[in-house]
Amino acid sequence: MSLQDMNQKTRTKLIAFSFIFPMFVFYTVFLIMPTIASIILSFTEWRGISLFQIKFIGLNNYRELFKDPIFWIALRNTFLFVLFALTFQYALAFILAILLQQDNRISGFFRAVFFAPQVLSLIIVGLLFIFFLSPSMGLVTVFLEKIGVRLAKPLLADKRVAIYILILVRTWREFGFSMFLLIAGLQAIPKSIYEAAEIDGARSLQRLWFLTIPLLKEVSIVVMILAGTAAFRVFELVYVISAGGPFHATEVAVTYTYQRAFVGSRMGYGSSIATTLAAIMLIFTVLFLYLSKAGSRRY
Amino acid sequence: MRKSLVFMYVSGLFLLGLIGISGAVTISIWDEFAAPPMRTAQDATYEAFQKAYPEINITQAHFQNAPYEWILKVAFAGGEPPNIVEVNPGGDLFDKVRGEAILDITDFVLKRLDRVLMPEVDFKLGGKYWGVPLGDLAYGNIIWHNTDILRKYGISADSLQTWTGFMAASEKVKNQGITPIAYGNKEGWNGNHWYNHLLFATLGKEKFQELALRALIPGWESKLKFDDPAALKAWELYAELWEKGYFSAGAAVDDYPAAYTYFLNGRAAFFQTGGWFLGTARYNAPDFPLGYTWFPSIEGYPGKYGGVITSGVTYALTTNNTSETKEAALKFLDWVMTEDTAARIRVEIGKVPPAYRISLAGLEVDPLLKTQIEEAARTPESSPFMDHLMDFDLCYEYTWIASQGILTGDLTPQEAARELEKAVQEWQRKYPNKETLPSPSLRG
Repeated sequence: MSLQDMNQKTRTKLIAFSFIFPMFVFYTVFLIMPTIASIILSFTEWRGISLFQIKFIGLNNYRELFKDPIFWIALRNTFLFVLFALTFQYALAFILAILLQQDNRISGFFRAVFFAPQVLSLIIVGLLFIFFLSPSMGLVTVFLEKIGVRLAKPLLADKRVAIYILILVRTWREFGFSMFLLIAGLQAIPKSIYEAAEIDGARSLQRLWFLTIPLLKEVSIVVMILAGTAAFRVFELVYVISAGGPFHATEVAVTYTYQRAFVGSRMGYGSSIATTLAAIMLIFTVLFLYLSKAGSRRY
Repeated sequence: MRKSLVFMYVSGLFLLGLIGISGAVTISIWDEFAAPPMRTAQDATYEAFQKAYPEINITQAHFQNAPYEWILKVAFAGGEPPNIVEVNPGGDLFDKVRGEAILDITDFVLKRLDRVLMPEVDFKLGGKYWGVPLGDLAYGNIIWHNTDILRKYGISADSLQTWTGFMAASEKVKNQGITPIAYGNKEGWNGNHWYNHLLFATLGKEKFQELALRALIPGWESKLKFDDPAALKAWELYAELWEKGYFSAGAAVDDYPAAYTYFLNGRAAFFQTGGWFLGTARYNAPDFPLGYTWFPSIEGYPGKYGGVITSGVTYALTTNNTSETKEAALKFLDWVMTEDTAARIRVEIGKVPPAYRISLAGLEVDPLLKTQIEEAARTPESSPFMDHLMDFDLCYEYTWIASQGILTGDLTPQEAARELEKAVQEWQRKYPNKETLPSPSLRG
């Protein structure tokens, strides 16, 4: 049966399927199957070398996980990254998006400056900040010494602040992308709406609160979901700058997964951490989408 | 068109035939020497072998040491490891044997064992041999010093042979505004080394090994504990170095390269690490005024000055070998074990001591290395590293990471000792006898 012999509907479906199929195969092989494999591995004990030595142990990994104090530290730190991504990072991106939405040279210059960190790989960003923050030879340390300031503890060695330093570094690297998405959203809002509001006597803060923010809601949801899920998966920056230390002070879920699975040779246990994190991310995304639609339900 | 295709087909067959006739075999080798001078030494080794055996091609891959183990695991799990791998002793070797990933080469090694200087525990497990020494030894417990700083403040190297002398020297340089000890424990292994050497000094060789083996050999009988006073003393002395401000400010945060850069910039008087540092120092700072002493003895404790913590890495044959590649790979291992070339290259380029009895005649041996080799040959006692004598997972969390906890104040020495002892007892409950070990190869 040739294409000509098929009816229009079948032909359209077949053509659409042939375009989707390669990506579907790629997605299945490189995302779905490893996810399923990881979930299955989370119920096993395996050193990661010989497939014949995988041993099914039921829920033992999860029982151990929920009693593991380091896991809870890692999860808490991960939630801190997410919290800052959804609040501080978004607020910074939003404010700068408002200020830089005009299409002129100055705005263009600053947009490029704020977006530039996105171009750098996370490994390079991590190495760069080690040069700044190293207690022995970092620029920050040298500068503070020159102005006569002596910290009781180096910033990255102080477990009360180390995680926040990493969050700030990550925010510096990531907010440019959020800002760009918000600028695109702002530029899509018709100018006539603001003109009409101005004519009606709305002041700038009123226009911001009653027009800009509601009209930017869909884009903001996308920005927050992207920022939040990326924050859940933070790894390279933490691994390069602090390796999750000192003494687990900056441990996050993914660095702990890496440590247990690869350094500690407990692939099953590492998979249980990864599976738990994936489940939390799924709940977060679904909840976030539900709450964000709450204000726009029709009655 | 058809004639061209036939011509290409026949030419291709002819070329394949030539390759077949030439008998060239290619073997792959992976190692974790990604930076000079060790990388240069490895490349020179492979080149020298290929000159001697032109019918064997070597394809090599060098990896950074931090990700090397998990890269190997992925290769093993995927069924595509190289023909030969460089293996770290202790837990890494244990893992591969347990995973049935490397071949038992006992018969091969036994015929060539007389030249080997490396401790057998580094390549022998369950009564069988699993690798051959790569070519060099590591002397782990060295304290490097800046001879200019010592001279300037009237500190004699001999005074550093005792703990009291070492502490007095540290206090003296600290009072002059110089950091006594460059130290970066970001990865945790440097802290493990400090604890290891202090424990060796407080216990002496016999008790040190007896204590460590409790978490490697199921059913191992010992009345010693990690929270006994002598063992606890090691953590207490380590904590004291930090409390007195002798470690550099970045101790908990800097990594090994940051620490040695700090030392090689002349900002600290001492740097504790192994003999492998000599090559790094000569490569990065050839004019640096470098000196060394062995780790000091501690007054009132049995460890002797000049005792050496020694270890080395090995080549192992993986299970991914055909009969042809296995024969070629064994030729390479035979060359490493019976010829002097591989070890001489490591000595000359890597500036590390040889793992084999070899002639150093005609070699340009660094004077410091020469002295180290001579002194190590006269050592009153030697032992492998503790993490080669213990289950690695346990050692990692309860010594590597615990050494960070002491620096951050999260652990007291007593807590560190107690947690380690608890973990060892837990391990012994999990593996009460050899039959509980998962791999049959380990039960021998």
